[in-house]
Amino acid sequence: MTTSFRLPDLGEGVHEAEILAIPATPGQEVKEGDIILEIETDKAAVEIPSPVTGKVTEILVKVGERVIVGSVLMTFRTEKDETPAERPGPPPAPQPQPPPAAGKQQGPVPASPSTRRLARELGIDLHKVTPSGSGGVVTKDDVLAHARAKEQPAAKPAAPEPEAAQPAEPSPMPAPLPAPAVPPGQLPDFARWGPIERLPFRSIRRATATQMATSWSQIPHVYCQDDVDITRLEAFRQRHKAELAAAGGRLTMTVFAMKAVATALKLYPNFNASLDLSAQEIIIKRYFHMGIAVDSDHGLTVPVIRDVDRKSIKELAIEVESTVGKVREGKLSREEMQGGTFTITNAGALGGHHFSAIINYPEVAILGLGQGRMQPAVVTDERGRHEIVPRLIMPIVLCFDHRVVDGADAVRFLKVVIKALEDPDELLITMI
Amino acid sequence: MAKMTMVEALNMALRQEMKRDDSVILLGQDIGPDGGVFRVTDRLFAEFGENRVVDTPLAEASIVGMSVGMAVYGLKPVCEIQFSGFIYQAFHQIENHAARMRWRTRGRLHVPMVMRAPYGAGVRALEHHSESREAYWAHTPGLKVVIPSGPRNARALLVSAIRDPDPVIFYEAKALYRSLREDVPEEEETLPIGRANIARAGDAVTIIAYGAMVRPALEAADLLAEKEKMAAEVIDLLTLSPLDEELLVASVKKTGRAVVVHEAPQSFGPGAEIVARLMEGAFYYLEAPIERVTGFDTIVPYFSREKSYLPGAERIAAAARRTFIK
Amino acid sequence: MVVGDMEMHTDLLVIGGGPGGYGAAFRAADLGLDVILVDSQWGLGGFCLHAGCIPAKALLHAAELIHDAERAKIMGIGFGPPRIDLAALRAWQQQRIDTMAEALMTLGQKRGILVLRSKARFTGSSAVRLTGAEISAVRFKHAVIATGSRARGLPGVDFTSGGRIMDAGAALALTDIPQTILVANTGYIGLELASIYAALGSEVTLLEQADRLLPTVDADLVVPLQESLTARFAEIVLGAKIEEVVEDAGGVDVRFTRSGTTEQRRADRVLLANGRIANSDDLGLDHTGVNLNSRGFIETDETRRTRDPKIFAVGDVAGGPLLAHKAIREGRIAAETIAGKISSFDVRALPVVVYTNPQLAWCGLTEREARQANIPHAVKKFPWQLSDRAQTLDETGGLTKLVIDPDSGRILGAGIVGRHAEGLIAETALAIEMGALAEDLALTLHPYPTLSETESEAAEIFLGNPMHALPESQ
Repeated sequence: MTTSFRLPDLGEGVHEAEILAIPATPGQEVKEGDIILEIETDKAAVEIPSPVTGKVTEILVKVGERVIVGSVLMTFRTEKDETPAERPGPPPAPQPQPPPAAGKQQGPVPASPSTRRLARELGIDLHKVTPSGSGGVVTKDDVLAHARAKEQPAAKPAAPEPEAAQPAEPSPMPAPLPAPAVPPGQLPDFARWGPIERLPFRSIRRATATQMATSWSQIPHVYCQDDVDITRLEAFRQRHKAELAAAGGRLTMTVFAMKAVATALKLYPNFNASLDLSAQEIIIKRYFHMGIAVDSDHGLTVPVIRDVDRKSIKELAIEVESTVGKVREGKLSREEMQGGTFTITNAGALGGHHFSAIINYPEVAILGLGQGRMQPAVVTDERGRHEIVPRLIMPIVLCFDHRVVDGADAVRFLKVVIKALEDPDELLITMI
Repeated sequence: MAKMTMVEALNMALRQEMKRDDSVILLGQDIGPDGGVFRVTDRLFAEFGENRVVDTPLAEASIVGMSVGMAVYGLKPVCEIQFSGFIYQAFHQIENHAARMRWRTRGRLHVPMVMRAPYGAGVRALEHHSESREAYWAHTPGLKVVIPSGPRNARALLVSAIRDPDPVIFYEAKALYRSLREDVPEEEETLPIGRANIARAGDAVTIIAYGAMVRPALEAADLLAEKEKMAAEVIDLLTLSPLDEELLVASVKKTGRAVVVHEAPQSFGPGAEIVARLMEGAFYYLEAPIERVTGFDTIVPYFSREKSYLPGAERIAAAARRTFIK
Repeated sequence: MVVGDMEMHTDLLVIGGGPGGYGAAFRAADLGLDVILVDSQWGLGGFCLHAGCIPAKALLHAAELIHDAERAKIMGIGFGPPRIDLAALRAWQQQRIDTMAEALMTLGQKRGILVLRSKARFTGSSAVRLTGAEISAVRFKHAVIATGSRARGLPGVDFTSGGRIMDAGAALALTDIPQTILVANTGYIGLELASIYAALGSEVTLLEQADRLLPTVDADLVVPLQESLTARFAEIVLGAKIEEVVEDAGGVDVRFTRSGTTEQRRADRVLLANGRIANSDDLGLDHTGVNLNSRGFIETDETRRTRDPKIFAVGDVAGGPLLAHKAIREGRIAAETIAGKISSFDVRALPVVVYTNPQLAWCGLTEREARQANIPHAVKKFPWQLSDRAQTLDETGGLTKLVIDPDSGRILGAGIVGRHAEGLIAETALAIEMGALAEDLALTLHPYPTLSETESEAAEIFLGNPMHALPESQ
């Protein structure tokens, strides 16, 4: 009998996955539970065990391909109805799928009423639960185990040996990021010097690594640092914080910075660009979608807030807050992380002061905010007298791609941002 | 605890107080064998007899006048005016005698009576059957005005009103008579007259209502929570006079915004007084002008337009939103 | 006089106080909802308690006593012919009903459910108007329709109350014991009623349109019943198609055709039925989003929610087998769903009991259904003449059968004909619901001597090691 294996529902709203590796080969005999595929979703990398014992007849996917839930990945010929005359040689052509035996496959799964109620309440299809009871009865424990597995889709970590570097194969769309250029070097055996632990390098951690390595190796980074006196802005923020909180928003420095940057980007459009080396062109984007670096349990995520220039500070405060909430709950969709033109990273909330940032490739600049701290500052009054007073000073850093823009532009760009942040009135007046 | 409608809860309050105190006596039209037009005195005639449940002629002035006399001589009359719209005949007795007796006699005589009357719209009734003229009584020194909002507080407040040494005007919203059931304990329960209740706590805006308007006020709070993620505080006055100014002011100091709701006409209505008290007590805490959502300055229309006359959840929620825009 | 329009608000309005209705109301109240139940006729209990199932079962018990007393002759015990005081029998029957109805009302009251005697008509998806109550309207967050079903009349036949032509309800009222009674077209309810009248002394003629009794039930289960009834009824006419029913002052003439020829019988009374129809026509459902199927039953999903998301329908009015236990379960499911729980009608072994003598009961997959749907199955039967307990009861005509998945040995269905089948069927229902194997049933030690052993013996036959029968291989 021929069985086709489809990409199962991986839960958590994941609808597609990328094929990472295919340990199985056509014609190979596999046992139920043998690893036949490694896939990666936006959430995690998972090893897929064979659902049957039999022979792999056809593999319908390639490494690097994106597949959606329900699509057929492989076909198997199971031993049960294996024709006596086994044909050696090349795998036979895929057979048309026979209809399932009447009443057998679709029949109700044997389980007690209380188990069925539990499955119903947990939203679990009993057909997908591995039974442990006599004669295939699904027990309550089976349902609970299935529910737990669904919650943590990460299968056991893959074999820790460094994989053979695969040539980056250009595929039509969507264009995958180039693999890191540095070949994996041979590491010493650290266990010789003390106990170690090996953790999987997967999912967001690996995506972050690829993205950072690409940016660092491709973009000549330049940093432009300054200080912003945010004493007045902070007072303004304190005044309006509660009101926005009532409306479900959170008024943070990031929100003001987004508005200030939008203004600066309109004045200096080369910062809202990407470099197309193959076409030898600079692509200027006429939209202002801003990425915000968010730290979460799942790792670094950069959700994109769209059309920042067309939204009020209040709207942004609400949208950013709800987006951050989504990130923390792991509910952000793929689309919500795409399409950014500039990124802001605020280390201040965590207490970070001076730092540098890596540009979010293929953007050309990133703005970093540090923590505002009370510091002695020299102020000059209208009659030219100097005085040292405590002011709230926030360090700020603009990192830019020197291939696209120059230092003078960066200083001008940064001045626009600083002016807007030092004076809420200026922010209001200049806001485009 | 048994679930009861407001009618059943009031009936229980009357029965228990009549059992407890022989001087409690009921007067009113059709309250005897018929049990009253809304059945509030159902079966009390059979239980207590004609000397304690007195069917009166159709004469409101005499019902109240007799009650004043009985009260002065030591009884505790609870008279029922069939509809609050029939009360005007008795105005003289209430204003000139019930309300003034304690003052006039320098405290030697007092009038421990309760005048119960169904008030308010919402049951598709006729002219004189739907009005809310509680402002008359709240404007009259010497009277207490109590307006419950549900079965349980109606019972507890009626017990307190009967035991009060002075005349209490007890207005019962017809629309609430049978519209909901609540658990009401068989054991004695009273509520102090003059105290409002926080029906729902919140910090964004204070909605002040009483009687049949408490429900739409709570529904409006639901709408605001649902659509604006805003926690409105709803205050159920329970007593209109004396007004629980302390609670109102404290709430508005907290929220900075207020909406006052009543089904009585707007001009010189209870809302005007409440707003004035808030201006005196919480002016420097206000973030926006106080809104009023009330009936209109007209007689309550017949039932095809009754719903448009009455404040509803949407109107109240809209007023609450306005306090954020101004 | 009450002035004005008194509208009441509630979380859940239940229309109809039968098993489906009180099933929903009780469960919802226990889950913390405010519940109003409206029933125009009986308050709580419905047709089932007041005019159907319960009065019938009380009389059937009486009939069984008469039958047993008579059968005692074979054991050398004689009681003589029964003396029947019809008024006393009716009073006893009514007293049973009243006791149960009172208990239901107390259970409802203690749960804080307001029961209104009134008729309800929908005016929209969130309100009904009531007639005959002090409350004139109820506004609800959810409603459950549990209005049940009623007998469908026969075109051209007058069932006027007190006439000689009766429907099941009139027959149960037991106005008199007619000399002769003709029962036609009535399925198992007719068989139950005919048994009652036969026990009370009427000469019963049974007309059946099909070529055997209970044509939808497995034939082997019906055979012992048909034999028993043949002995007690004056005549059983199979394949009879009724042409005309004419009532006159002295009796009723029933004309019918059988294999092409026309025949006629005359009886003092006639019990006729033509199936039951849903009470869905007078509810104002056109003001809601509720949808009816072509037969007038309300369409629902597995939580018994109708097309109108706020309105649910349970029991007979929602179609399916017209059984009280199904209605109760559906009521509870609707209540749980309304209270925000995840619930569903997920019954694999819906048991059915026919209270004739002998009783018939079945649950799960029948042999007939298995054959029609081409589901692989094995049927194993244990005839009661092999049961020691059946011998001591002199009830050897019975039969216990199991329908089993031949591959896995899982029990899929069961059928029993014989005394106490009503109680015996429950064990197999549990076995099916639990996904038990024939082996599980066989290994469960059954007390000896009891009729319950017939079930484990049937399972042993499947496994090839029965005790009181020989293995099939021999």
